[in-house]
Amino acid sequence: MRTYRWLEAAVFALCLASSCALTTVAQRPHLYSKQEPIRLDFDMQNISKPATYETGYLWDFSNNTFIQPFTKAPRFGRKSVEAYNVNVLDEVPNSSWFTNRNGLRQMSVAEIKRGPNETDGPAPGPLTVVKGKTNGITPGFQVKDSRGDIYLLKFDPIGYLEMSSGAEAISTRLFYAIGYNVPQNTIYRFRRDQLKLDPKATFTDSMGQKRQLTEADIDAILKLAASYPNGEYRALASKFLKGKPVGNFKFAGVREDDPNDIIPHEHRRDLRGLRVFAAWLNHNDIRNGNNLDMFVKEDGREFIRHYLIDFGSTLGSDTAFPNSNEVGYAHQVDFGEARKSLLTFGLYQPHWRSTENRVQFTSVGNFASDKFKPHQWKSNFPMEAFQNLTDRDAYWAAKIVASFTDEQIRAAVATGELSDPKAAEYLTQQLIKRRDAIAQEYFNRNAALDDLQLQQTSNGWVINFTDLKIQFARNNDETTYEYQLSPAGNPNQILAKGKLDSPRLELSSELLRQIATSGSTEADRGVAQLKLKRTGDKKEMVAWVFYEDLRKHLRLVGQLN
Amino acid sequence: MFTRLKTTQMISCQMMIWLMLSAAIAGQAQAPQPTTPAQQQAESPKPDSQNQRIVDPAKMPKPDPKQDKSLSAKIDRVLTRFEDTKMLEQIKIFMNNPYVHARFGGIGDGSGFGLGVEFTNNASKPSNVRLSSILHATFRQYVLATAGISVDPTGGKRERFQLDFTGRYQLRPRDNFYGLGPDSFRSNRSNYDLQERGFNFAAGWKVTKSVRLGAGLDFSAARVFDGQDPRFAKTPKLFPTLPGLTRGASLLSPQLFIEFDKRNNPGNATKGVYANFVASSNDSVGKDDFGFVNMRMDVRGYVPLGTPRRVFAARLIGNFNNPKGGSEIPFYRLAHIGDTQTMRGYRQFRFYGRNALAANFEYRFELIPGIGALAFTDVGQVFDRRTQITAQNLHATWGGGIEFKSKKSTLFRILVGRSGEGTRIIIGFGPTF
Repeated sequence: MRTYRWLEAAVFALCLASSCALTTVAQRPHLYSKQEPIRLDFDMQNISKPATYETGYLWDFSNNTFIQPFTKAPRFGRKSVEAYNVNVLDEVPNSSWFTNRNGLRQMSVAEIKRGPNETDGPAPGPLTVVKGKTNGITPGFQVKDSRGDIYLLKFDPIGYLEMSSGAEAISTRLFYAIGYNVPQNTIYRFRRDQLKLDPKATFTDSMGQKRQLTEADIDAILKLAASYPNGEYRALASKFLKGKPVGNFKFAGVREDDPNDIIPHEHRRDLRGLRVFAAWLNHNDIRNGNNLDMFVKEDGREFIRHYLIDFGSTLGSDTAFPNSNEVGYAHQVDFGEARKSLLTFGLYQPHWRSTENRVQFTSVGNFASDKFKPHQWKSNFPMEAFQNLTDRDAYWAAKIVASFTDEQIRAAVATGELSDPKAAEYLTQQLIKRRDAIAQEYFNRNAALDDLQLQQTSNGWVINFTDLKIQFARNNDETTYEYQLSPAGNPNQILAKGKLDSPRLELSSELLRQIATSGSTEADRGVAQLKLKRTGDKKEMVAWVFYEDLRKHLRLVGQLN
Repeated sequence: MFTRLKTTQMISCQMMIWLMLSAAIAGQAQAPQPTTPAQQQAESPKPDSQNQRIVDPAKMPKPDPKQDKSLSAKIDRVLTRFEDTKMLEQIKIFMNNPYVHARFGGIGDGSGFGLGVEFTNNASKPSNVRLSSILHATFRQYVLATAGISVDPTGGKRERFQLDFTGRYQLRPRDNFYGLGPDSFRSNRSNYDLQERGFNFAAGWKVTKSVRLGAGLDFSAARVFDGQDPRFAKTPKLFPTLPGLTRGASLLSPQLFIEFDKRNNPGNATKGVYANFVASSNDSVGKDDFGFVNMRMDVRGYVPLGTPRRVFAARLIGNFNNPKGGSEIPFYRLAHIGDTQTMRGYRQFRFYGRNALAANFEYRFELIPGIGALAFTDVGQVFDRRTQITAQNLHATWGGGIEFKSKKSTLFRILVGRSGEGTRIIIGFGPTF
């Protein structure tokens, strides 16, 4: 009987292993193609207007905190599913969700400062208040300027002048430069007498009752807003987006009434990688309610463009207050942290549970980098797409974060118009340090050998590559590399292997001829697999190059870090 | 032989299940990504950048939620329907209503869970006069109705001086009674139906920031009937000679109180002390001969253990009754222990006596902001004379639980208490102390 128990265990283990193997095989993507990599995922086909879908905060919170983690608990092997919307170079093509910007080409300081802006903010002169702002936790209202543009004015909480408006202006520029669609957000100063009330303006009170907006309501809203000693108010002017709002997008599933939306959101790299960007900018309040789908008309086609909005809870700001010490370290209801406390009978007291006031500048709020651990960063509640983040997704995002130079970050911070230069410099330094922490964390999890440049020489071709880890650490130590070249269709056959003293591999004409004749199928013919790694490092980068003998031309047709 | 066959069959079955599961997992993983970008590119040799997708739309069919019969899809559908109702948002709007407030939970020990509603004048604005009316009922058929007015002549914010007048009516149809004294039998559980109406007038004066003095007058007219829980004996049948049983009692009670409060956060204290002493003289109105002096004390201390997230809390409660001359005390006004506040491992009102003394000791620690855990032990006893305070008569309970808190107060708690008479689960709204 005892023997059979062991046999059972063995069979169990075998079956477990087989499911693991099958799962891995099933999820392994095809890796190279002789076609040009897809740079645009064309999800902008003409569609009919979809219904409006909105999510309230309570639902967002309850669903993501108490329901999703249990109904969609990560099942066996789930984490190994890689994102669907990546091309053969393991990059995210442009789409209605994401546009490669600074990660593709270094933006100028002027471009960073400009961000998505079409104007410099509300036109000078009087503003007509057309509606009271009822959603969200900051006071505000909608105004129309003399050009007819509508803006949402949001204010800083009393005692923290410049904090949330500054955070929102800065984060808007950075999220835009990363590649997301964001609204135009600018800092705007005005006086009370500039505001004129539209007689038709409405307001929905806390009872959910819609009524006419009055001058008293405006005064009541402004009473909750921080102002300068000269009586001037400072607001974040958020320009209304073009198109018709059709609600929020979710971090899981697809929008059923949008035929363009075919990739489950939890498997979109641009949404999974958003966790890394959110960690950088401390966007703890990221949730369905802070996204907006706009039904837009571009080039004669009507489709949905997906926006991130409302960055008031980024950097050191939690919109109405500075961040509490827990922000970024724990979900609002964090069962994992609760378990640790319970098991240790309350002795587990991480640093972020301290009640110490860590606000150094009221215009910055609570934002630091010294204890920042990118992979442990948490948003207010868990999001399915964030939970699915793989090392490859994170590496993609980390490359974009690392692409921001100190000057670019300084330029973005300048758009927050912080009065105290020391506060602005402090904020800049924290962003720089957090950027470095992200690069260090995720470049260490991958080979981080990237940016392959293929160059023809008199003797053949040269492949130059960049060691991101060394480059980012600004470390010029004598790192050596190992490479191995095989036919793509038969990776076990070695065409060449050896050591490199620098990130440069020379391919002789003879070797190129061997590559050209390798491969038994049309897809494999002329394609070689190149493995690169640092000496002594287990992680390797794999690239596929295609050599056309007739044209004597070498091309990168696949890459994986 | 049979065992061997059975085991072999089990193994075969397990193999089948695992292979099927493996295939399912593999299929599931494969299904949404049937072709890779590279494969698609190979299938369409002349890509048109204006209409190319990174995945093949034909192989990424739109999910039809109505066709999906899986449990998770069903849950999703139910949740989506719930979400569409915006019920949570409606509840939030309702909770913010300054005139009408929802009430959840019980109305005293043993009442069970219930719902209620409170009507007030605009609570969002400070006012010298606050009107309030409550109607609350529980699933165990306990009912409380009150109407009151609270006046603060010095202004709504300062609460320096306050006058309260409240009228009440309550039905308590299943209160427990086990007999008198510290050694009453558990098997003598009975229940009675108390119906009471009355009013209370109180004047409070905040002498300093932490000291409050007050005086008041309470009138209570109560009747006792057979308990409505058919599982247990009826108190009037099992204990027919109890004072106040046959005709109830009408009592007029002038009272004095003094309160000392040095807690850092009264609803959720982590540091400080609190003490409350109340003395009342109770005399019957009418033909009955009830008369007694009642003195109650409630002393609490809170000590943070290195951090406000770990707190040791202790409380001492005393309830002392002294009959006037040969007068009696209605049995339902005697001191008792065994409830959600005192001996938490015993059933409510487990021990009745002329006097009661009980202490609570709690170690509280925060699990995450808003949720805390606690371990507790309670000791206490009832006694008629001081000589009855002995170790043998002392009862003890212990347990632990979880509390859900806002910044200002404990909202909800689930405790498990253990005593020599078994285990009790306490689910309650509001703090213990």
